[in-house]
Amino acid sequence: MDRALEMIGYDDLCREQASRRGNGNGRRQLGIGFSSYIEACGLAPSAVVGSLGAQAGQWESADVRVHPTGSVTVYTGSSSHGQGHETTFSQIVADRLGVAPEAVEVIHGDTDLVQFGMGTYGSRSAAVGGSAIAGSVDKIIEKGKKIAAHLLEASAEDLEYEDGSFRVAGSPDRALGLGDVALQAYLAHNYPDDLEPGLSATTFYDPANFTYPFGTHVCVVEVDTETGSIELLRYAAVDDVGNVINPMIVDGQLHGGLAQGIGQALWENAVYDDSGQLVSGSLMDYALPKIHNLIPFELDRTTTPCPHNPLGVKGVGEAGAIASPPAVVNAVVDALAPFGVTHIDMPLTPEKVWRAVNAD
Amino acid sequence: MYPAQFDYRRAGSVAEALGLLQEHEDAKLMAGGHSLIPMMKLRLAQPPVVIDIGRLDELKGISEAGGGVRVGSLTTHADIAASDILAASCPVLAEAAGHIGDAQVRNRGTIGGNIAHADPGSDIPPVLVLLGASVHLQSPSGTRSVAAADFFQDLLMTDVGEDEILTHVDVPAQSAGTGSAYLKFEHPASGYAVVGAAASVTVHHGRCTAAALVVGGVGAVPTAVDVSSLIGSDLSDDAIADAASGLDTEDPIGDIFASGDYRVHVGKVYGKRALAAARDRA
Amino acid sequence: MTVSIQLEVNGKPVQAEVEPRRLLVHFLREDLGLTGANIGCETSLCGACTVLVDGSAIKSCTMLAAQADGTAVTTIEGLARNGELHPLQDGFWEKHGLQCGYCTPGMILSANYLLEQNPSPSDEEIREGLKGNICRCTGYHNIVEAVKYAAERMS
Ligand SMILES: Cc1cc2nc3c(=O)[nH]c(=O)nc-3n(C[C@H](O)[C@H](O)[C@H](O)COP(=O)(O)OP(=O)(O)OC[C@H]3O[C@@H](n4cnc5c(N)ncnc54)[C@H](O)[C@@H]3O)c2cc1C
Ligand code: FES
Ligand code: FES
Repeated sequence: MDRALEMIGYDDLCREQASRRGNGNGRRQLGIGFSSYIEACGLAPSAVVGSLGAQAGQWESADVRVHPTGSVTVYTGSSSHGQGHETTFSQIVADRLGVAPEAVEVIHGDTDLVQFGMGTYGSRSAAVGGSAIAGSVDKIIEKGKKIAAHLLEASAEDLEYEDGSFRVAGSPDRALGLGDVALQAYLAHNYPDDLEPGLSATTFYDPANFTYPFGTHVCVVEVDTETGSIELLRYAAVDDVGNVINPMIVDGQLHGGLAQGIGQALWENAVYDDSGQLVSGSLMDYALPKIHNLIPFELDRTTTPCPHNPLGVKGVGEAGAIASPPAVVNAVVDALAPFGVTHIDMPLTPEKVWRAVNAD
Repeated sequence: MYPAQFDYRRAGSVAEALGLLQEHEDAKLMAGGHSLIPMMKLRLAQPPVVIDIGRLDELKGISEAGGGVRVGSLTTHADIAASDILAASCPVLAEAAGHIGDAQVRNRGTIGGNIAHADPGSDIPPVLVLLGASVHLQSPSGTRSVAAADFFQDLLMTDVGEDEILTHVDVPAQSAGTGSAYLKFEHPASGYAVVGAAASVTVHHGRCTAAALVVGGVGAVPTAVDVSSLIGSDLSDDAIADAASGLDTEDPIGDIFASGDYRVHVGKVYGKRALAAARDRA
Repeated sequence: MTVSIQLEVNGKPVQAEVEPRRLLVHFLREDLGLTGANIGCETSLCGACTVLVDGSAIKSCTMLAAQADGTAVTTIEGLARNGELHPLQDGFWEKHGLQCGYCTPGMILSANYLLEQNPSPSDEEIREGLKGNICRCTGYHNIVEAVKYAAERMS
């Protein structure tokens, strides 16, 4: 919240607000709305959700295959429909395995190819799906160490894995690249006795706990008290979503979530008539956030790694959508405080706002 | 969504289009198709024959004519919004056209189609009524013109006869000392006007000599507000607010976004603001 | 009945017989296999189907294929030159201007039209110019950035 106040220039805004209020409650009132949230996501420890009535666990699966060439394919049960899993999951593998992100292919969403999985929802893909991938990569490194130890005539315990190479600790010249080890894993004629050939691993990761992203959002609006129209002036958000794998994707998720939440607060409205007929059934009547009604978003973050998953990530898919409706509604209600308004139901259509201003 | 089946005829001239209209009962003219095609996709319209007049160059373009401006019925909203001739002598029409829908809609939709369709949320009708424009129609038996104020008859109903084509609109040039403005309260979903207020005032030596206000979106047809109280006044904010508050519609239209009462209220507020903007431009 | 049409699509001549009620978007997608133009709403409001007809951005779900007779149509498939992405395509890539990508072809063609009209638009002009295109994923923030990036590269 401290950071958000600083970003938005809270003191100046308060002065501006006071001057508008002092001005005989003029027609353009300024409102500043806050929303501080903590979210439980990264769904979810299977036993816990089971005890809450879900009749299925919420683990996630990953099958990571290192091919004889050293390139990698990831099969994930967490499918992407625009959240950028291909990028983020490649980065997880690239970072952990020391390979180029381009060498990693991510396959999802094709039930012909991918093992059973749970999917993308509840801000869980990185925290649960990503952790499953990390688990598989760790298994691959462990197995690779055994193969490399055999080839380098060393003990597996003495091997370190760094930057894509297996090295004997203390003897830097005794090393083998991942590609060499992968090739030997598949040729498998000069190979440890007790080891299966091949270099791939499957993990079904069941999270130990939920994850808890948090943050503070501040929205500034101008309300035309004569018509009830609302104009967004500023929106600042400071979120803590744990470790950030790809800042651009994390920001993009926030942007999209903010639009979703702001839309819910201001425009989106499914309306049925008395006979149960949907009367907002097309975009002629159902208002989505449009580009000219939104503004640039001002984002910042703190980073508190999640303590209980291997990546330290918490999840960002829903943060924007969770925090923004209250921030927007609070801003509008704040703007209308001089009129004694304390509550308006979403969506805050101009007519509702106007009626609230003029209620006795 | 597909329109129901229909036969397609493309007219090469106004005369040919008029002939096709005579030949095919219930045929529909299509200009830009931006009201007709959506209606046909929803099967709210199922004409057996569509006569495409979209390529009749003779009905396109903006020119100066007899102290005013002639706008061909097939002129697109984009061309109207960008017209130098209109900017100079009738800026409020260009301003309103620039508010229509979005860039893609303005590239296809035409002024003739807009007023012939006569959606209560359209931006053009109140402006034409404000300006005292005349709408020109041609049929096999000749041509006639009708004042914009009489052209709009009811919800989606106009004075265009079954055998007629709307050829052009004549708009008087704005006189010296006149300012005008169009203010739109946009529907957040459809983009049409919930309320569109068109105003003009003429000022000589600090006194108002003429004033007009027409509000769209509130009633089935554009609603003219009697603002004659402004004539002779200094157009103070109070005088303007008082005049605009005369907006009155017997049966205001409403939808899930904005009720009739609310539209009337916004019509008064936007009417006031449009008059004030017109004053500031005079 | 069918109508004979001849047009140019992405620089190549095309000749076809179409039903009068065939919408341009269906003609492009189903008859020509150009599936870049998406169908998002069917009420002429989402802009996912935007293509250029004689250089102007239009919604191909609100135009008959028959009306496109004699025109030159550009779809997203026709924007890259010699395998090199158009600056707008590059901008959407560099600035993360797309997530699911459904709106992207239409966004890019609308932005292309906007930049033709106004090569260095302000943020506000970009938002006004793209108002006929809805995106459900990005919150538009990076779309504006992508268009600015392209505008700079094209100038
Ligand atoms: C997404 C969308 C948003 C829109 N938003 C707005 C908006 O904000 N404001 C606004 O004002 N409009 C809006 N419109 C409507 C737009 O302005 C249309 O272009 C216009 O209403 C119809 O013009 P057209 O040339 O497309 O006519 P068409 O659809 O071709 O024809 C409409 C009707 O007029 C008749 N007609 C057409 N031309 C003639 C003629 N010359 N003589 C006689 N009859 C004729 C046709 O037979 C038909 O009945 C919107 C449309 C869409 C699709
Ligand atoms: S499909 Fe054409 S505008 Fe939505
Ligand atoms: S990227 Fe998904 S709709 Fe725009």
